[in-house]
Amino acid sequence: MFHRRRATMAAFLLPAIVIYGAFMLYPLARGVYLSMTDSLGGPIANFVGTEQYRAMADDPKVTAALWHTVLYAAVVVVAQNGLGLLFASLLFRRPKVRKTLSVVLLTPTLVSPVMAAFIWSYLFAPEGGINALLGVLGLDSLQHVWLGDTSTALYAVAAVNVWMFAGYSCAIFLAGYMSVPTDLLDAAAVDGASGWQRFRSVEWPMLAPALTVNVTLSLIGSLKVFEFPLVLTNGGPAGATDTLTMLVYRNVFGGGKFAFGIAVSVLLLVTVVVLSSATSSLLRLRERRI
Amino acid sequence: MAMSLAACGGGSAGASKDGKVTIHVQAWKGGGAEPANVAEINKAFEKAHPNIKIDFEYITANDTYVQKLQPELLGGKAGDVIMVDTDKMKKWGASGYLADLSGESWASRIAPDAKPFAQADGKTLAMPMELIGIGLYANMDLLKKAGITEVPADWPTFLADLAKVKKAGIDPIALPDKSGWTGSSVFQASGSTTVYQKNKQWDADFLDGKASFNPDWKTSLEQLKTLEDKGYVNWKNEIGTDEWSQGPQDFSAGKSAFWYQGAWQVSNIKKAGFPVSFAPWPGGAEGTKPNGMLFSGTMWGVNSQSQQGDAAREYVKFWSQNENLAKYLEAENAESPFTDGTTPEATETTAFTTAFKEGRYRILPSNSWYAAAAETETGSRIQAYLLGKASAARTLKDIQTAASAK
Repeated sequence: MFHRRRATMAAFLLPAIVIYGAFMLYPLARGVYLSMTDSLGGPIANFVGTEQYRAMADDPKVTAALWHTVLYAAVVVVAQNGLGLLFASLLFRRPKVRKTLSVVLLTPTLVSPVMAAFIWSYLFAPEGGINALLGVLGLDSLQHVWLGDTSTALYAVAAVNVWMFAGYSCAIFLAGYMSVPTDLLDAAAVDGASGWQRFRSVEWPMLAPALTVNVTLSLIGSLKVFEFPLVLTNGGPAGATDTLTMLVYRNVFGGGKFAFGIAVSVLLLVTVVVLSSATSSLLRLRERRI
Repeated sequence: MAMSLAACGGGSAGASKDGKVTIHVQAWKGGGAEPANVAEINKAFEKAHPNIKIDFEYITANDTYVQKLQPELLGGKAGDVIMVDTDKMKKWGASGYLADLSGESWASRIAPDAKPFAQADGKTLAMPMELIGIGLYANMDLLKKAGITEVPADWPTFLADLAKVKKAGIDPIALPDKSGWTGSSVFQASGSTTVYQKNKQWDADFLDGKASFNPDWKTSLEQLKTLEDKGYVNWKNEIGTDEWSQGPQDFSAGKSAFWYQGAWQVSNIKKAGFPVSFAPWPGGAEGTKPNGMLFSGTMWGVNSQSQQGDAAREYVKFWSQNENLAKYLEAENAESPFTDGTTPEATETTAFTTAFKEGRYRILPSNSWYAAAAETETGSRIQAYLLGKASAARTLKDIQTAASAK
């Protein structure tokens, strides 16, 4: 009886396993194999062992791109979730405008990332909208060549990412807010808790699951960022916005170093898995402690 | 798997019942902002070959083109005739995707200077369509306002002209460099005079380890910095500006007296309505004439997996004939890559074509040390130099490393 049940379960699982294996595990294994060849992208591929990984370790561009990727992700995760939380908190306290403003905040997420980056490249241009606005406001001293300066380019690119997805984070935090029991909030109000005290002692702990989801999603998304640096800076100036995905793209499609590019993509995969798993585990542990 | 897909054969469905064959042609010219008279030439081909129909597909240039073609070639689904440049010809040729065209009648007509760019491992893998200039654009109306009547030919005159233009309240020169192309290309254009007039064999010497970038290319690199030191450009601004979209728009709008781009933009700039001149970068010493810099641009390759190989070769042969190719060269403002070819004349490009006719030119070595990866790296290193993040010596050393990479 028990064996029959297990056999039935296995039969039902089989299609999913086959599909997962064919479209996820096989390409992954194939990718790892290709990273150990000298493939130029054609049918000819000779096994070269760890040669591409050794070349990667010796390449300062890879180290720089790894650092840019992690820094970019850190900036985006903090800024996007900080803003998302701020907006959600304000909207939670303003039920009358909540629906309208939620739609406004979510609108940027509906735009194609390539299109958004293209528009922002005009806004960030030396004579573009942002500098013009600063001029109109009398803040000429703050005018800057945002994408042409190595010290600001990565942050400018990250700002577009934050602009686009802060509304998305806000929506998740807002959903978290809706699950906060009103009894708790009422009790805190009766006890005379101030707005900040209510947030710190009641809302923030109760938002832990929403925080876990938001941080994990934004971390994975920003580590894999591609469209924004590609369109806004093409990895420049002087490689200041080169991320791991840009290196993968450039080597696979432009540089003819197909196997090397695949090896960088394996490094990216490992980075995403390690960082997102560690963050997610820590945040879930925190949830359980609260 | 790749091999079994390859066996499916590339290109179009093939011959129909009435004996007509269709060939699928893929290119990054012939559509968008660069129609390049391709439609007219294709029409003429179909008229001359009633049994062959052309299924032409325009694909956006650069990354988009490679992204589409690379998997199609791997899957055996790419066109029968595909547009390539030297870099793609080398890569796709090495992967066995391109047919050997060495036996074609036009192969022996390729000019000796252009031949290495269409060949790999001793085989002719593509038919060169053009040698196209990259150089300095001048808005002659704005120069006239500053009291200048002709485009500068040497570096001291160029600096003097830039000073005059600036004094007249005109933005002297636009060198948008967001993708790093302009910096890298001006470096090459300047070197075409400052390096190659001293040593025509520099590329061969470099590959043999007998020449190095430092000090040979120091003047070329420093010219870029001089433009900022004298107040004619702000490199931070230029690196924040896109050379492919904003650059042509700004120059067409008459925002600067000089600009740097390829001859393929002449047709578009002419539409702006002001007299324009396209000339070699004036990088040489006082009283010298500059070398033009040419790029071995577009070429036709035949897919080795094509089931319509004969028709595809016929198509390429048609393009090689002077009367057909001239229409393309006219649109591109380019020079013919054939020994007996006809190069169209245009007033806008007189300064450049004169340099070409007088033998004052150098072709970018895009098949050797200046392949795509080295070009990208050079652009990035030059950006760092122009932003004050690296010294000239460091930059030249980095370029040397990029150019030496296998």
